[in-house]
Amino acid sequence: MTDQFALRVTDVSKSYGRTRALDNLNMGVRPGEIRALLGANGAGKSTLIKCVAGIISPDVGILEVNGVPQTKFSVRNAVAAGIRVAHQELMVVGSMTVAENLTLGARLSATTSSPRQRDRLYRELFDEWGIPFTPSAVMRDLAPPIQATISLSKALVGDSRVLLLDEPTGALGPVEVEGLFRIIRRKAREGTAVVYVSHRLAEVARLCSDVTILRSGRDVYSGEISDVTEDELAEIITRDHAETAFTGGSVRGDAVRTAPTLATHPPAPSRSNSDRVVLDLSHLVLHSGVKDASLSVREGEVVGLAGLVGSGRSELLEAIAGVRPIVSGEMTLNGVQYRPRDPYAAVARGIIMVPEERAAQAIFATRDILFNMSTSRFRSLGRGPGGFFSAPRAYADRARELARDLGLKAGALTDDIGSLSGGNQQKVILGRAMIDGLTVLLLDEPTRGVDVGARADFQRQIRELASRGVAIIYVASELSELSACDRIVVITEGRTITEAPTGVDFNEEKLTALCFPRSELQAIAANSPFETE
Amino acid sequence: MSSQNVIDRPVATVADRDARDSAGRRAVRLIGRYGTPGVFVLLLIVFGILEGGMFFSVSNFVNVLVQSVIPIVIALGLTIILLVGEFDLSIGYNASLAGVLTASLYSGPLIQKVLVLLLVIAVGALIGFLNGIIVTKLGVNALVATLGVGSLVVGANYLVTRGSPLTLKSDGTELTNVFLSGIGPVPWVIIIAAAVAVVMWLVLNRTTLGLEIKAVGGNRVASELSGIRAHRVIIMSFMIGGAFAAIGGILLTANVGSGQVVGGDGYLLSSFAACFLGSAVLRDGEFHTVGTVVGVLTITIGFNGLAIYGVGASAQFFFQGALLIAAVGMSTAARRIIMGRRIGH
Repeated sequence: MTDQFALRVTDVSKSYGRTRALDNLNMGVRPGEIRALLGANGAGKSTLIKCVAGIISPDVGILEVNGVPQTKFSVRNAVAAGIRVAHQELMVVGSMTVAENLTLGARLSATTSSPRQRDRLYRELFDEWGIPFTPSAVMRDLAPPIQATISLSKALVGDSRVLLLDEPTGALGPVEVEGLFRIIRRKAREGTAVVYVSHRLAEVARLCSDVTILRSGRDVYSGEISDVTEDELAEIITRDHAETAFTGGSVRGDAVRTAPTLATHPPAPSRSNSDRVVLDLSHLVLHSGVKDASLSVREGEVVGLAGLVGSGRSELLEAIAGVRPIVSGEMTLNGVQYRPRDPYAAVARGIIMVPEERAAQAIFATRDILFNMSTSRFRSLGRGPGGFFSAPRAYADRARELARDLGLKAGALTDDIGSLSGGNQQKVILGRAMIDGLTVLLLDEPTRGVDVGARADFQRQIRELASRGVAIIYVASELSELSACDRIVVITEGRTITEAPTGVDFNEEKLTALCFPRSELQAIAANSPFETE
Repeated sequence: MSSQNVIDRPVATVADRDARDSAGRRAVRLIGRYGTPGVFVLLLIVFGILEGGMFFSVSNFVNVLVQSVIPIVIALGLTIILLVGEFDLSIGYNASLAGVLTASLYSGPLIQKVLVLLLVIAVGALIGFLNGIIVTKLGVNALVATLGVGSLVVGANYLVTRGSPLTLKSDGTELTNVFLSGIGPVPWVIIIAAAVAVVMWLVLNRTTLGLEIKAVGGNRVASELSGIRAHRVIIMSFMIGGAFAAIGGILLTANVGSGQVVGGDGYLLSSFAACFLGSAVLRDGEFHTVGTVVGVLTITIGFNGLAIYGVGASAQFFFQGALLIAAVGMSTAARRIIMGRRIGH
């Protein structure tokens, strides 16, 4: 029986210091199977993938590929055994051409011996994907979704026994996702064992045949996908959510479940019944990305900004946050002209952004939770003239207050930021953004990499902030997240084109269609990638 | 009250974590954290055994401290620049210029002498300001920018000196006295260096600027999005670093009684060595005041011990290079082992 498994993991454990990332984990994947690997942040998915990929070695346990136990853990050995991995992070060098990028690491890949053969294989792959293959294009000139497909293609090209995909669709648009699924299904038919990691349960239900769910480094559920509903999956993943959010089993029962109350601030009238426009953008044009954007946000209103990756949505937020200069157009804040010279000027007026790339743009990786939460108020809470002297106690008091309000699940404020799960890291960043005098909060993909349970929690916080009068602009790639917004503005190719209904009238398909630029819609019609199952 | 407990109490202390680790990993962790102080103590023991009374005498310790004063002041200035995430190759030339300026101007009534010293420090800060402006506003890489500014400073130096050393004026005895007199066996200059170190510690650990420097050095984009004016913080760091280099240059002239044209140049290398050695002290890979002081002392004790033992200058520089690579290499490798990763790092 064992020989039937292409990949088999038996009683594997792995610890990082006090954190037990994998705890006697078991999983088997047969050839031709597409197995979803699900779990909350910190459940052990990434650690498992790194073990299989040979990046780290398990402390104990057996890892077999086609019945052969792996002994020496290295990326080279894993590739030699037929394992291909597409990591969550984009693995591209922006200054190099597509062809050069694809050559990187090709040495490790046994199937692609000659450059010509490699070129042919990639051409076939991108043909199948329905994406033009442009080997001489410089990487950074390509749209982010296309860059992502090139990063992914390195794992997909050629033959493989085991294919691991870690959140492959995070940066892809709908067209690329359909093409990817077509390729994955074909590879499974050819006998590859596929492990598919995703937070997007709808995708999983559509693509995968089997499912394994991890919690606290253990496999808590294994079975066929047809036996469970999406709701049941979500329920299993988030059950005892508090437990998994803590690392190393450091749960402290009652305190953990403290509901976010924001008790220190009087609750303002719910929903946005204020008509006072806080921020108004009119025909905004930037050097790149935004060609004509108009938008207004009222006091206490949550405005969703719907757009594909590359639609100009991030650039628009950055312009408001003082990161990008404006070429033409008008911004007003509370009726007064607003043209921030830099993010400092924006923050001084109570406008702050939670950026898209948490690791690169928000986290101070070598610092503790307290530092990460306080960077926006170092000076405002400081003592002496102009806040010259630091005020460690004031920072700690405020951080403790915010942590309580946000329901932050953490050990101590002096713990490394890295000890937190993605969702809790994002709460720290949100806490940082909750400066005194906050008027406009800009959220760029705030729930990326945040698991289902923490996501709902996070959205509750946002609504609480709005109820206190903060004007909020919310960008999300997963359009279903926008259903709770008060209004939805659609941005396409740098232009805000229309508003879409929210609440009970919210319609994800219609909204998706609105997000597509005309040119891409035609391309879809021509290629008809939406295959019928 | 109970909700306070959510984050008030540490879940596990460092001791807990260490207790759970194997002996081998514990040893590796210790090397990572205490590599440089370990080398420091080891040097004391080795030289103590080899040289006995000669090495372990009050006068030799005072001697070591006096020798450390100038590199400590310059290296502390470099520490702040490294901490903000930049580099400065001009500090040595900056110190040289300060030295010759002091030698040529330090004269007259006391008030004038004080003004001269303030002016020299201001020139050092101005050089730092120039570095900062070029790095932030023009966006030039700090290595290139400070190399260029460094060359300008050398030019200014030759303009002042015309290439030959300037002797301190005959009424400059207060300056030379900081090395010659003091409280008991402790010369003033040691007290000055201690004060400078305390000031730097206060700047980095008790002011908002110190926090902002750590934030900008930790993640520039994140710091700016938090409303920190990174450009200002970087320029300030370069200015403080430049001012410290100038103080080092003043002390250099006080020490030798004249302004040598290239007197401060050699401190560039040893300052970098001391800062990186210091970054391997106690805190993983972070530049900090105490670390830099320990780094300088380690290098000086090594030099001193080797000199007493009678080896030549070549051996001393071999020692400095080997020490730097060993201490920093060991702690970096130890960290990588602890992280348990095989690629990247």
